[in-house]
Amino acid sequence: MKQGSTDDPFADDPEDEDSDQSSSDTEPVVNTSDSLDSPDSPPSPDELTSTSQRQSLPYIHSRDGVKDGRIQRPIFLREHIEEGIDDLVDQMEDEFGEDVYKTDVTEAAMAVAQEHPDLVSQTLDEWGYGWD
Amino acid sequence: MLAYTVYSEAGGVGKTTLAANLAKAEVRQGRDVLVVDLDTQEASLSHLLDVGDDRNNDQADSLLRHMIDRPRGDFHDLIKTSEGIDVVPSHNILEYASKHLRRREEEAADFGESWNPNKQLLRVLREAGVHEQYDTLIVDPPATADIKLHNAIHATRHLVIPFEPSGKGYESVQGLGQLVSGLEDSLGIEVGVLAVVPNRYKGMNDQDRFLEELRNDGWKLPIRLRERSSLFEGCWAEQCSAYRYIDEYRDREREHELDTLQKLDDLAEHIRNVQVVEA
Repeated sequence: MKQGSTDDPFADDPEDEDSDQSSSDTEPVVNTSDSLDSPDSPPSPDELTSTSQRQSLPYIHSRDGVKDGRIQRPIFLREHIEEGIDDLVDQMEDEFGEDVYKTDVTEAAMAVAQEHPDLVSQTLDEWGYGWD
Repeated sequence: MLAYTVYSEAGGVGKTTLAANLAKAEVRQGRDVLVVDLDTQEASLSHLLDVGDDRNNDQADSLLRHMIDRPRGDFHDLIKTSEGIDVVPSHNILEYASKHLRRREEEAADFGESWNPNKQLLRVLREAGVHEQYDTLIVDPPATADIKLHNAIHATRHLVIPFEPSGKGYESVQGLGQLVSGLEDSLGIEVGVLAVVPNRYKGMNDQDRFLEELRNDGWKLPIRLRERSSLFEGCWAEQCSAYRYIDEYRDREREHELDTLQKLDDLAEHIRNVQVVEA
């Protein structure tokens, strides 16, 4: 427990989408929950990804919080790159029309880079790698 | 939506009184407030705000029924309003929350489902769209650390901790730290403390020493509430918030009591403004 603010468990909500409701005769106002049609995650982190039901929901909707299953890594960034992350977050929020976590954007950017090593090598080339 | 649980390991530190009056302070700011009362004591928040009529009615729907997937009606029909505060009142069936939740967990396991009994309050609140309708959610759990408290902390992820500035009170904050760490690990969550609130402060030197120690431990203590037993006992007698009590039941305004209302407003504001840490 720490001083200050932490995850908002109500925040990572999908926009309205038609998913099968759980069998209750009440009408939920929003049909969004971690556990509507997939059971809740087991409590221990090492089982977090082991249940097949969890995979029935996209990643951000099957986790409890943005830090769920992630390890904090100190990384070294230059200021203009770091500011660029915030701009990228803004762009993504405009695109999706909802709050997007900086953590998700940062990791997604890394995932994209890993899928496109050619783009990464281009930038590294500009930074001076490959000089004879 | 701002969400927090008001909890202290030590009993009798004004937890419920604080929760109710913070709720009222939020309403006075024009915010939509929902309070969830999980405390089954007679002197519960539901009693304080005079919405506890159905607590013994076993025909009535209750929050616990929703938590174990046996609702009798719509979640919104559970809500009662008092002084502009929406309250999900306590019900005696909550005494057996642990038993019913565990039983439901076993049932789920028989069907090969995993169903975590500590995460059901969040599920119910989300399905009801509480975060779409309210600006503030305050949960008042029982004074004992049980499954109801786990659900409260899991659903809100934030704590406001009232405490009496004494050795016992200081230890209770430390003990709560250990309890919460255990929960963080087992539920895979992070819990943030929005404020530690010294109550019944009398300005004594040794009390100051405990406040100083807490500050050294890194906790923020935005206000100190002084001993106001006459005011708060009046609230319990008349079943209303301190704001209404002073408004309606005091023949004259007492400076020190108005000062307490101001502090409650300041505390509510501080809690609203706690810097959201970028995840």
